[in-house]
Amino acid sequence: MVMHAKKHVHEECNGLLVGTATDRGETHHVCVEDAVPLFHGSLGLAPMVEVALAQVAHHARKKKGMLVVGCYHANERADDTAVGLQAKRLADAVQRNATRACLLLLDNARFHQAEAGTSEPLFHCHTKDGNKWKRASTEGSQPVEAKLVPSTSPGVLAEYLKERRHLRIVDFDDHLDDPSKDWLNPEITA
Amino acid sequence: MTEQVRNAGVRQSGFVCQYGRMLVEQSSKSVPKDELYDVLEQVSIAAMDCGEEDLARRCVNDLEKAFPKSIRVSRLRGMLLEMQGKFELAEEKYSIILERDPQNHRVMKRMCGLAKSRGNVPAAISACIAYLKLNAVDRDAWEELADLYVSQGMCKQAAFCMEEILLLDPFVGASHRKYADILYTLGGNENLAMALQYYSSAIKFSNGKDLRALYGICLCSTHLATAKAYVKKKEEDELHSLSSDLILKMYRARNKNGKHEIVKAVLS
Repeated sequence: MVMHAKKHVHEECNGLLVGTATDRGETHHVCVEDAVPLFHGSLGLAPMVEVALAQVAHHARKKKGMLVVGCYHANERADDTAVGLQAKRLADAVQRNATRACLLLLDNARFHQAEAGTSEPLFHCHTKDGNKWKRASTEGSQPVEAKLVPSTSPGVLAEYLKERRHLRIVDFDDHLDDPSKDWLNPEITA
Repeated sequence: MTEQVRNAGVRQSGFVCQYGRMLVEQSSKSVPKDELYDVLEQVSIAAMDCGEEDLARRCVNDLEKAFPKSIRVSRLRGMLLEMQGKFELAEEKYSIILERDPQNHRVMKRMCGLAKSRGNVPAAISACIAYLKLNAVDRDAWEELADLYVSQGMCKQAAFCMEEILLLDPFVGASHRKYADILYTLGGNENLAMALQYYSSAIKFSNGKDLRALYGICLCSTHLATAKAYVKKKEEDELHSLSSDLILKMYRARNKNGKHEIVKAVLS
């Protein structure tokens, strides 16, 4: 997710989160296993989002028995911390097919610390409350706790950025320009 | 290398910043005199893009020393102020330039960019419209305005902008496809039927290679096939079938990583 945003530093970008969702007693447990980068630049148009959602959902189901459990979004401006219209639209589309989707919004202020391997969260988790997407909180009537696993991820990310692997990230947009490019990015995290 | 990037008109700020820094630090030794100022301008903008304030400041200072009364350099100073978050000072700078030269199109565009930097999209839209009133044939500005409208969910207004672009440049497939995307997003049988036509033109102009437009045809025809109060046309089924076949042919030929199976399953 961070590498996708690093590749497109001056644009907003988004993607889908693939994983599992289970109920354990009163707790709804969502485990994000993978992220699929979707688009960068102008994000507001529906058709290719629908194509991407269908293909990623199919792949998740067939390959790994998983589903699309959420999405991520990086705003264009460094000082923009809001869940804007485009982030909301993709999150709502995912929520229609998921029990309780999550939206991870990139923390633009901390974004530049990724190269230093910061252990501070670079994304903030949001869940739907009524009509709005609100930042996850462990308090309130529907507490939400978000954890980053494994704890070695920040160090690995810093190494990847140092090697400039992020410049080779392929998103669904790139794939639509050239179908030989793989939006699963198998060689990036190999 | 920086000259190649300039001539190609592409935005490769990271690359320009990395190599531009070296050029700027050795300016008298490695860059011909007649190119030096172009390089300084180019590197200053790339540095602003990458958040390299010291490099940007150095380039702008050097340019100001060489051209103290230049409007072009003054605009760069305004952009540096934007980068530093000093938006009011940047706006003052641009306003002074516009008093001297009210139709300075680069600075008029900067007013739109400044509003965007401040997160004020309605003001950016107004600035863009003001610019287009004086420069109605600027295709890129119409596209910028279309994107601003789309970002606000104002697809009807975005569609109008694309119609202006199509009048200016009727043979660009990407414009037909983007107009179709906006019509699809607006929704409704009439818009979907029109989107189908514009996706078809996009495919024609791209010799059948525009994958997005091919998918667009499949999406439109699928929705129209089950739409209420819509008289289906026979050719819509044919279009769907032809487009699906072309998509699958493209994937068979170019995709070695298993996406063909996913696409086949989703299209069926």
